Amino acid sequence: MVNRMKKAQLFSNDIIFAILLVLFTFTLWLTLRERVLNIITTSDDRRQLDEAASSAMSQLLESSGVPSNWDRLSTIDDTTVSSIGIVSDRNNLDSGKTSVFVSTASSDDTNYTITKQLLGLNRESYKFNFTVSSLSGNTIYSINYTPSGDYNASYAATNTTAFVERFALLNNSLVKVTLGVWIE
Amino acid sequence: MFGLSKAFIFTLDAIIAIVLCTILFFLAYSILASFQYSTVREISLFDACADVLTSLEKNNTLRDAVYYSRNSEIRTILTNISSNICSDLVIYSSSNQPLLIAQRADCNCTGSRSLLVRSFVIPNDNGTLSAYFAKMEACYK
Repeated sequence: MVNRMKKAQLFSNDIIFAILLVLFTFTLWLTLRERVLNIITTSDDRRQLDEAASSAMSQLLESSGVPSNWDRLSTIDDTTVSSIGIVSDRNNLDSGKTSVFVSTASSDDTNYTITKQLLGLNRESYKFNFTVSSLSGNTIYSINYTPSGDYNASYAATNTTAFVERFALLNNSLVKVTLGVWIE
Repeated sequence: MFGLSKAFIFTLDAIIAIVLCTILFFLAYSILASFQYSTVREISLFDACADVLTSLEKNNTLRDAVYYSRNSEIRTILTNISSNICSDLVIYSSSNQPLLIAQRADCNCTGSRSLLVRSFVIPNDNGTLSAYFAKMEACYK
């Protein structure tokens, strides 16, 4: 009789302790789960943004676009143009194409969105800006337009913006080309 | 008494297990919190090297640097690369002798590196061609 009581008591202590341990572990898991998921989601969003910006910039500086005379077409949209590129050959900016690219994207909401899609920035919430400047910092070409009208340099310069900075030649001089992509 | 000892041992096991679990949780959390994927960062290093070498070759800056043994233009360009990137460019002769070195001043690498070598030719006065190599290395501060 005594033995049985002792055994039962021992078993109860173990169970209580085990339950406490499980509860502790579960609480810990619940607390950290949300944070970990948040980190993973943020990291993945950022990765997609960086990749989209990097890919769009490569497209601009490494191809002349498809078709290569896209800048001379009367209508630029996804039915007439497959992709936009602004160089005559790798890293050699074509001033005509760059000018058409900038003026098209800066003209109105529709053209801005079309240009964005032709750069492969397909998510609706993505916005972009684009600058070509000399090494001394003078802006030569610039797209500072967004359909929402919220664009300002300080907003786009936050660390939620994926900035890609590359070099190219414009009229045989080295220039800095910057593309910023962010989620609005 | 024997039963109590057994239970005590089991409890120690459980404590060790839960301590390990807790450590594991916090370890996973801290690793994920500090996680930074590096693919795009490495691609951008490579792009920086490729852009500079391609541009300098196309606008004859590399040729002029060899002709006149001057590195000032190259150094200016290296200084204009993103502020978190250190870089240097060395031009070698075809016999692998370094002819000219340009590098960004006061820059120490701590992150990943990228290295790109490109060959280019320069015509000599007698009509022959001389081959050279430009090696550019870039890394994150």
